[in-house]
Amino acid sequence: MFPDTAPWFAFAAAALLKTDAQELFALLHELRAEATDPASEAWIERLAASLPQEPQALEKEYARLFLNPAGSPCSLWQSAYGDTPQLMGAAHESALQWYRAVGVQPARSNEPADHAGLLLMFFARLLESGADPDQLDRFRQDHLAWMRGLADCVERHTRLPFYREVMGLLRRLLDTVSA
Amino acid sequence: MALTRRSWLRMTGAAGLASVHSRLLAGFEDWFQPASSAPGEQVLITACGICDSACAIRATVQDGVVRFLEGLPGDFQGQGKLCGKGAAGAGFLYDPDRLKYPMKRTNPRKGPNEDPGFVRISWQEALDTIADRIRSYKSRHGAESLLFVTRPAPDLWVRFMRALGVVNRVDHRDECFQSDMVVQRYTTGGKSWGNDFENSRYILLFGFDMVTKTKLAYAHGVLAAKQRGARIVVFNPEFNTQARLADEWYPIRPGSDLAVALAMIHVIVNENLFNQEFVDQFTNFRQYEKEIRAHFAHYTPEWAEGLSDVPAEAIRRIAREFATQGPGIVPMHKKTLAANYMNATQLAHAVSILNILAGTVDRPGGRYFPRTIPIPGVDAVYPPPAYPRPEGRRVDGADKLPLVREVDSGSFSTLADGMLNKYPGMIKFAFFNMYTLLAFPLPAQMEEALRRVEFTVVMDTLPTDTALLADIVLPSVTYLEAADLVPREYWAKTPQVVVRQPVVPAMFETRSIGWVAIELGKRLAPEYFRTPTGEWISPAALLDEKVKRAGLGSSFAEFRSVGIHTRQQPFTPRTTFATPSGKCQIYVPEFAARGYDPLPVWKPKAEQPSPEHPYYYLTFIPAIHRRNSTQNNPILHEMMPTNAAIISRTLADRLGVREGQMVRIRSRVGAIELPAHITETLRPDCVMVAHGFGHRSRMLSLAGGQGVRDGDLIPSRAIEEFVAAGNFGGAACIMDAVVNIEPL
Amino acid sequence: MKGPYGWLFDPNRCIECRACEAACKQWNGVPTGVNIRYRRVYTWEAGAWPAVSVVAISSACNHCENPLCARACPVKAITRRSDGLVLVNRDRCVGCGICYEFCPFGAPQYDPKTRRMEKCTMCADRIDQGLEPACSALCPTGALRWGPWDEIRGRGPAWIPGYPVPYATLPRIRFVTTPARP
Repeated sequence: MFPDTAPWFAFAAAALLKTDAQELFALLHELRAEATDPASEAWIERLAASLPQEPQALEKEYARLFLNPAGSPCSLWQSAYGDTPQLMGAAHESALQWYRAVGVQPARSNEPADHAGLLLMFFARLLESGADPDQLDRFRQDHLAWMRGLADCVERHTRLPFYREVMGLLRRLLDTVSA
Repeated sequence: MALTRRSWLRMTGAAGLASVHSRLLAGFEDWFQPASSAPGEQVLITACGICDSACAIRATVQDGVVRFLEGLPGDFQGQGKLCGKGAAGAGFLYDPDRLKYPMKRTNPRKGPNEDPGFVRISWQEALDTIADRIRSYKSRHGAESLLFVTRPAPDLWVRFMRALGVVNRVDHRDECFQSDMVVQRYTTGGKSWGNDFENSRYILLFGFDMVTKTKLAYAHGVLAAKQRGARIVVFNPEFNTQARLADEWYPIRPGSDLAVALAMIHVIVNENLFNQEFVDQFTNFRQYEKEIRAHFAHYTPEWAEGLSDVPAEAIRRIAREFATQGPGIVPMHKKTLAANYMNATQLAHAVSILNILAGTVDRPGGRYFPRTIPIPGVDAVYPPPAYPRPEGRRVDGADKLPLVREVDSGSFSTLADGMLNKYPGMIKFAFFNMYTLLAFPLPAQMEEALRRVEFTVVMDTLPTDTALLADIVLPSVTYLEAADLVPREYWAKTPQVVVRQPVVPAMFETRSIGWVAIELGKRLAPEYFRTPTGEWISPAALLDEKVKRAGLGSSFAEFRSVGIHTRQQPFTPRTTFATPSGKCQIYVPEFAARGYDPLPVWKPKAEQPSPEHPYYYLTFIPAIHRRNSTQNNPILHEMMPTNAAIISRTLADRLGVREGQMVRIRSRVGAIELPAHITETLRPDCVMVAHGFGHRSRMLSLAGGQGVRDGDLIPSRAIEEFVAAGNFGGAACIMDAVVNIEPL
Repeated sequence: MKGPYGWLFDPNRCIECRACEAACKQWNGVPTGVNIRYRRVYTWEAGAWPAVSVVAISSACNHCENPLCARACPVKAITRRSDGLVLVNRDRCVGCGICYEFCPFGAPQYDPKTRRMEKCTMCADRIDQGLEPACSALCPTGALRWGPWDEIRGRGPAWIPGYPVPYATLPRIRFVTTPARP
């Protein structure tokens, strides 16, 4: 499954950057268009089915998990999982260097560069452009491996099936590119 | 490391950004842009904002990330240094828990186990909603229904509140220096922030612990004085850091500083040891001499010894030395132990008299009024239309303390009682800026009061316990992202101003309260927020005007690069004082006219040990934390993650308590459980707990669930208690509790 | 300024603000929450109420003249630079902890994540730029000072009550014991 993982990584990125259920549904449509095997189709079905119907359900859960003034159980920024839980730590600098090496930087310069969504989006672009396997593996080690911890956290705390499915997808993707 | 630019280009065949073939991957363009050149290393000057010592900072910023913070030589307050809190300042900027975006609550129920269901909203929606609410409540229930729990600053925010006709603005000053401010308005003409320690020869400290709290602006002075051979005498129930520097330390009984101060005045007046020249020329002593002598006649050192545990002969000798081996100074400021009992107003008066008798008011070696470079506020730069007269009732009851209202102040300690009992339902809207429930005595009561408010807005840098009760949460900038002009006030014999500038761009969507004032002003009171030429007031243009009019340069941008400005001018001691008589007033006729004591009278603290609660309850601010706002900083958290019940070895042995053993401390209003820490440095009849801990568990990933709230044991008050006790300065009685303690 | 360098500590001036600890953490990016501190401020109570005295001492690595940590290290991961700084080569370190056993001052810190030892470097990178270490640079009261060892070695005793005994390693630290007044 996942013959071309780039769009899947892009979807995982979108799921961690956007909270508009309609938009995510539309992106799932695109993924289906590219899916060629039953396992991939099954993933898409599950993801689509798990998207919540109630208005604002996604926004609320996203805020509760990641932005909560009443206490976010999980952080989306890699530096928060570092030696000293901080924003703009070593992971931010490293991510920035990766981005700059290909001539880009985050659109919002006053936010950290090591947001999980940004890192996944960047990796999707690396994959799509046929980057060198060593480079891909290096980026994976530096900036994707930590997301298993993020997945642990989200799975432990989320109340929405959608985010559980997204984390399952993320784990699967990480396994695929770690092989 | 990474992909080389050449290999990337080879793969994509385009100038860095590949063309997309699907919407999925088109998302890339939403989140990335072409790279601009890295900023490299900069060193920027700004002013620390953790405490009001406001030490100037040199911030080293590499590629947009703050790397290091240190002091700025030439700054009068930090004197080129920072304390531990300041050095760890980047931890506030980069706290992963910090508030990032405006949010609104979707679950209307408020309570300890309710999930607020916050969702992210735009600033536009947040401001529109807040404005609608204010407009609605004001028209239906009047301005008195709006509660602003904020400081009277900055000037833009004050303008907004005045334009609305806000009646109920309150801050924590009653827990701090309010009684001193109220009293000094009439004794010396105003709160004398300056303490000229370095020129003092005799420093008398009633619980004043600025060294312990590392208020560098004062700490430097005390150490310099010691270096020059000044004598330091400390009265404090604990042998704390400040006491270590003292020549004499007396473990005074809590709440009895007033007795010692009265006895010292007795000695100085009886033996005519006061500075005759100053007293004759600049005070009303001679005018009221008979009353004064008669009044202090019975406040003998022997009488004071019985109340304070300070030996009479020491009181007598110290009084004589203070008066004759000066310049002598008795500072009084902020979390001074003495300011936190029911008799704090009387103590402030007695302390002021001591300084007056020593002849050091606005004189070398004494308490002085800061000399500042006048910086016009927004009302001077853009004169407003006439403000409406605030009409309505003070929910905190402070209208019963007219001298407190005269200094535009109020009462945190009576606020919950006002909201719950005196005026239930009157407050419909609450706006909290940089205050949490931990700032109040009996936080649970304040929480209950807030739960009943229909609409609450919380603006802060951190997701505090108060945010749980908010309907809208607004993310604030930290001081490292703020812009301002910061005059030196604590050390201000020579005027000096330091810039505060963003050392990095404000992160996420954080904003300043000044910006919020303008945005709400546009919606609610537009006529107050336009410049004479009709545009909206902008914070940047306002700063430029201030810089120009204060003579600091041609623009804020220019002053940013300079960073600090000192105006050399000689210190000219005042010969008239801003009191009604133009003199320093020992006897205050204006107090008498109000039915208060014109001279300080002995009153005990409110709560006395009893069989049920035999121990005095003391709280303190540890050196490496600032109130309740720093406990989530990783470096500071590591140094002190939690609080403990600090007791003496004597008490521990008597109770059978070991180091680290859990104990329960109980007062008449609550109980807390925490581990004991045993020390030799505390009176055996005291229990001491650090303030600032006990943040509720879900909020802050480091501080959450750590320690207990010292305030859970501290009674809140009803305004009538203050009136009955003659506490006309409205001191919050933060230290005025007695407790029992038992091992668990 | 040339090495060797040393510390001069005046306990009469220490107000326990811990700027030295915080500055060190901030400059060196020392991880938090795992009990690693290159520099520590600790207090030492003596006597009994009310005749009590308290001393605060700020202690890091003393870059000793006879660094037993270096001698004891089985893989020669600790060496002394020409200017006297005693530094750990983390690539050679195997995390055995023997250096910690030999150090009287508890300077070596074990990082459970990297499984290596690390410690105060006297901010070698700052010294190489002509700056003083972060800790002494920030000390607001002058309690902790740093400078050429020749200027410090005669300024006071090598030991005060509450501090580890110095005779084995000859630490480059001296204490000011005369009270801070004429």
